[in-house]
Amino acid sequence: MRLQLIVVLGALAALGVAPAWAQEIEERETGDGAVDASLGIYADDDETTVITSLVDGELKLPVPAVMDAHVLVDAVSSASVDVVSAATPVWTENRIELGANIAARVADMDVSAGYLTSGENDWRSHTVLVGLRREMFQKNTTLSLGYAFTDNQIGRAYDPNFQRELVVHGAELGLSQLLDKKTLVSATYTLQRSDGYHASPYRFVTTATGLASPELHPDDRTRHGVTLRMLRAIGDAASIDVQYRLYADGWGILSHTGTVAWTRELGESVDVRLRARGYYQGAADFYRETYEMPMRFMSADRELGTFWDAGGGAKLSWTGERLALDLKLDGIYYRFLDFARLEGRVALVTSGGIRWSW
Amino acid sequence: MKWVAVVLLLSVSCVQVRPHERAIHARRSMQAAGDPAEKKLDGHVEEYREGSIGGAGAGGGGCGCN
Repeated sequence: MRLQLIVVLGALAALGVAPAWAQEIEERETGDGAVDASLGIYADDDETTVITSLVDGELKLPVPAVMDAHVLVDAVSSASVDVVSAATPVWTENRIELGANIAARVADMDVSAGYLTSGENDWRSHTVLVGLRREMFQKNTTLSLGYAFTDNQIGRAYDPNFQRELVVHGAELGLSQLLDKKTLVSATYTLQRSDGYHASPYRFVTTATGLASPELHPDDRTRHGVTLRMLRAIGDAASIDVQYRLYADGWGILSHTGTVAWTRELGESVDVRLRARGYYQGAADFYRETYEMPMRFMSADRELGTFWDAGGGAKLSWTGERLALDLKLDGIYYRFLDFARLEGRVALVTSGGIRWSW
Repeated sequence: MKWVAVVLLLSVSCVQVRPHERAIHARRSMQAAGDPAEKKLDGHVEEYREGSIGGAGAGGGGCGCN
């Protein structure tokens, strides 16, 4: 890893995913299961390519529980301006993630627990997570709560003496409600607290005086995100999905995210979805495009600066009795407002998946 | 904050859509949970390249990013 190391966000993702299959526990027979295989490719004009392979399997157990396990591999290749500025050649790297979850129905409540581990040459991470989900008021209302703990051990290539730790606690509270025959609304609050090493061991900040020093980020970070969503049916075979997220953290970043998706069912088994997404964030309090003199906290991470991005794309899905296929293509434009080495970049993201269930 | 949550919960509980009225909610295009694999792949792109979290996350630790 030579470009940047980003704080682990992973645990909360699993909390969001687990209820989807926990929901089906009582409707499935022992031995029912499915296998998913997906391939995603991210490529941008800043010379970065990420190929992500994901295989996920799930199985209904002889008890009211569903077991799920996955393997994910990232293959990264980059010659971004970050690499050039760090006087490092083009690099390639693999990251491997293994995870397992179990979700069970206990006293009218879906309970899930899981474990994730991931590793690369200079980073090792372990996550445990638990989740609760309960339907109320004749299944008109669903309340979910999740917690995750992640421990990260961070190293630096070719430097066995460099060893840092980052500990992350995350919690998510969700509430969804059927408003009427055609409308579902939901609100989600995400809280994350991280303590430890947040910077990149490979990134250096050069001040106007010519002095280069390692990136210095605060040791703690508290992050809040609130997401509001409305999903509403349109006509006899389409829906519109509108989401807005407000995010703020203790480093002074404030961001807004808006997403609109339109999905249309074409016959018995084909769906097409068009989606647009926009994002804007203000810079962290300590982020500067250039530092006149050394400061207590300094960063060269453009993702802590002021920037916006906008993108959109289409997804096509086919669902058969046992087999399902999907293909997606998105384009994204990033505009960095206070990062001199890169004004903007264009990225293409494509993915395809196949699912077999029995 | 606690009272806001209680009031919100009580207010939404007044809305009732009966089981036989949920045919539209059962459509493929109305499945709110979405595709877990797609969420995981999208998380790579969005949360590793933006400074924010929440709503839908990414997976695992480390980077796998640029």
